[in-house]
Amino acid sequence: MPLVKGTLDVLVLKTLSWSPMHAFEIAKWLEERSGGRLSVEDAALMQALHRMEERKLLEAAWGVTENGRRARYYRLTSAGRAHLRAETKRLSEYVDALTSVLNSRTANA
Amino acid sequence: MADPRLPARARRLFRLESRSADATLADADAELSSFLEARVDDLVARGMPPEAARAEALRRLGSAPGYDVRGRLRGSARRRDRRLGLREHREAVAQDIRVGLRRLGKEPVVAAVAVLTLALGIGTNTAIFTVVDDVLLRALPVPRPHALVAIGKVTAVDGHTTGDARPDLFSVPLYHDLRDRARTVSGLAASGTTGRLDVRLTDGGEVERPNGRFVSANYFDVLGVGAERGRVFGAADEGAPGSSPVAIVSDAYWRGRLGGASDVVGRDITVNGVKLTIAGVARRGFGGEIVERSTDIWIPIDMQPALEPHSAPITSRGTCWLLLLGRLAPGQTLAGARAEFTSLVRRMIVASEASPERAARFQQAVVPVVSGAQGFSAVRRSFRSALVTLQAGVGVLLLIVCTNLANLVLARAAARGPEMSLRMALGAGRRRLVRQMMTESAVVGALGAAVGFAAAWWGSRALVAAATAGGASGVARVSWPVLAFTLVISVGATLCFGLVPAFLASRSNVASPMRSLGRTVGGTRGGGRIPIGRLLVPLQVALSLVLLTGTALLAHGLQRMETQSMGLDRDHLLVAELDPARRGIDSTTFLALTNQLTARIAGVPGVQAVTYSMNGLFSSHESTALVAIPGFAGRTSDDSILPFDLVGPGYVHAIGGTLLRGRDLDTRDARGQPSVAVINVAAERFYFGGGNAIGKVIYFDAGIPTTVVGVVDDVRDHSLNGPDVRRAYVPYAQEVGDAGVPALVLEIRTRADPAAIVAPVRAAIASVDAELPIVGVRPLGELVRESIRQERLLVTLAFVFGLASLLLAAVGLYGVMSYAVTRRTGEIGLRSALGASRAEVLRLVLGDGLRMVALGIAAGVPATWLAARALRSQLHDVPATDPVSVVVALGVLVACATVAALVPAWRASRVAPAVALMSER
Repeated sequence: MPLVKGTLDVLVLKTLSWSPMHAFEIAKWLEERSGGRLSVEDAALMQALHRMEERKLLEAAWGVTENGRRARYYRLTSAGRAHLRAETKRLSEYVDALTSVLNSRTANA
Repeated sequence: MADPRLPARARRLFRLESRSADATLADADAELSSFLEARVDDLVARGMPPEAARAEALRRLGSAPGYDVRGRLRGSARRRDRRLGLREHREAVAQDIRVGLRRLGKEPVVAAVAVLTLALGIGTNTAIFTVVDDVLLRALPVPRPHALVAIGKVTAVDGHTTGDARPDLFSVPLYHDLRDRARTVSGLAASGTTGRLDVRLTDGGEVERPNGRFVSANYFDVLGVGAERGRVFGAADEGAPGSSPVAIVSDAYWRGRLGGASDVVGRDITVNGVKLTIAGVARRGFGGEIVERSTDIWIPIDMQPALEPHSAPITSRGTCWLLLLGRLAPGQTLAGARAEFTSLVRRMIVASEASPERAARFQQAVVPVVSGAQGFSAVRRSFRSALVTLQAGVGVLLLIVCTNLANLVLARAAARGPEMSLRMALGAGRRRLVRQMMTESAVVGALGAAVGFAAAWWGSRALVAAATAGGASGVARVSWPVLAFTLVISVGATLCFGLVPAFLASRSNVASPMRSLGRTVGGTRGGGRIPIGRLLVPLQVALSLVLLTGTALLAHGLQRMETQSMGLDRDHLLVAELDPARRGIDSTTFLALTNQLTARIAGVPGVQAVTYSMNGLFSSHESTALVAIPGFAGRTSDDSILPFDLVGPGYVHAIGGTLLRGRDLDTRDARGQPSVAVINVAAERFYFGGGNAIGKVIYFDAGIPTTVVGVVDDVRDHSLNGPDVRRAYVPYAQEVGDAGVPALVLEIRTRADPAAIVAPVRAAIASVDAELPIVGVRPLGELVRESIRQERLLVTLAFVFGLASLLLAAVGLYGVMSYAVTRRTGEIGLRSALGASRAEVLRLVLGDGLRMVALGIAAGVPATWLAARALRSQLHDVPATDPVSVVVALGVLVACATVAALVPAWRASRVAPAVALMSER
């Protein structure tokens, strides 16, 4: 499924809350965790990472992967952590509200 | 191989270089390819063959045609780095400011002194410039002011003469002639002085005295000023005298005195007893064409006879009272207008003069035609030189302030030497250090500018009020040029005292200050470089010398002017100005009035003598006449003009003048008797070549032969400066019918202080005629002092600035010497231990300080000489190289400097050797 607009950032932040990762790792993680249901466009992901770095939600530094390749690792800042918490809460509430509207008994349910 | 888990802040501290554009692009490309490689590895690990994996990876990346992944990534990376860089920069500056404020807060006294000193320098400059801008630079607030031309003597704002036509102040008939004929201007307006206007805004309300002006009907049209309410004057307002009883008020007057009432249009007011209707309110911000005065009410010229019935008739070509303003027609220039008006005025006057000799005078008359952009001003010319002097003086003061502050910054920077070196060793760039030090200076600069600006706001108003005796209103508004000026000098001053020391401090060699960390405060020892502080003190001394000498010269000039002999009994004269015309006194009742007044006042205890005259002493009125003298041929038309005054009997003796030859005027010189006159020495010398004038005949205007019966020593009766003026004194009794409307000033000589009998004199006048308007009764000394108000103000200000500069220089000297003494504590201790006496140490240190002062004085002499020459025009009777002033200035400077240097020297001489040597370790 393509991502609902505006949810990429919070997903990335959540992913990085486990540990610092580089771009490909994040993409793979999201695919695996969602059981293949969420597909992220590579370019969109990398641009989103740049954006969040600019907003100081993330920090980046070059590192080395297990395969010995150079990769740019991203990690959460405390601002990012706070943003993750807030956005998660907001999204959950939204989904709750959606669910209660959509699940209510209607004539055509 | 940086560990990505290392805190980024720590990394940044040690890696301060900013990212270049290339590095950003390379970074983005590297990230992209690393992503690709990672995917390929992943696919291969899952069993795909390498080439297929690569193709799949590329496909997944979305390399659709036209979708430039790399470009997009580069773009987002560039934006990221740019914004991050800006943010970092902003945070660094904010941090610098915070640190700067904290450091200043830790030493509040130093900070306060620095801010106040800078505020003094900036505030004085801004205050003077505000006045300069308003009086000298600013144009009238009308559309296209530079297309206006002013015709006439622009300083004669309240000019009003009777007798002859003039080429520089115009009569109403002459104005009409010019208006109908002039082609270089598309419109020609006239404006003239009102006398005192007694205005009642409501029936039975109080009498007010607003500033008024009589103007032509096209005045507002020519200037391009519209109405905010109602209308302005138009063609309909011109007609027969008294036919347009309307007035226009200014916006300020409407808001102020009329309460901004919305029913102002159509309201009736009473002016000099005549009912006028307010036809409109002029556009906001317009206060007339006179720069230093805010006009409150404009009245058509045609109403003048109704409002001032006892004044000279304005239909006469001899009543000259109008100044003209015209707007250049398209394609015309000021030079063209000047040529046209010069020829027109000459032609019109010549054509209307009855006698050919009088007409001949005007063939070559000079008609003043200048740009009207700055309107008219009675004070501009006299203010100009004083203002320029003041502006230069405060400029010098600001320089001294900057050197003082530079010293201060240097001293503090030297104290931070080791810290700077440590920072540089840890990788801080030189630019960053300089920026940090500059920020602290900038904070002081900003605070000083703010305080100075506020002080200037108040100060410039006070200055103008003092200079014009409170008469000027609406002057000293803050404007863009003033703000820009303040900004420029603030930034300039801050750079001056902040940047140079910052650069010098950050240039210090890294190793040596750290080595001396354990030593006393102070940095490099010797090193062959002269600390800047030792150069700044002589500079301050030199600048102070310039200011002090200038002050001394001005003060001496003023003193000479005030104490010169005036040719009359200055301290025992009381001058009472009356307004008999308004009371309805005319030529028939005039003499009876004067006889009664002199008799009554002579009876007041303390009065030695009483006399009277038409123009009075130190008043703004003067009369002149055209004279013809057998045997005398003048070179220019001015040579035939003789200022005179109509006086009562016994005038010379009553005012305390010195009669050199012949006799005084007395009661036998009455109407019908042979015409006589007393002239002064200057007139005798000029017209009779140094020979005896007694018995000689002078022909005044109408050709009546007047015999000279007395010669009096020159009397300074109108101003303290300026050359001696020729003057004649003619008996009032003989001329009273021809003098037009009689004016009357009483001169009363007293035995004691004239101020003591002001009240009895007023009572005496009232007892003769209680309704007779008294304009003022004042001692002559007061009038004289007021006439030199500007000069006195200038000297007062010069004193203040001179004192300030002296104080600053002394503080600067003290500071530098204290610092030097502290640095040399070890050396001094050594000397004492080796047997130097206290006196020797004192001499050593004092000599050091005085050497700097001597250097400063030597350096300041040429500048002082130049400044003195520039002041020449303002010095009354004092040469530019006046030795007294120079000696006084030098003496004060040296005395002050010696005291300033003495304190640290004395402290040095008391240093105990043991303490000094221990502190060395």
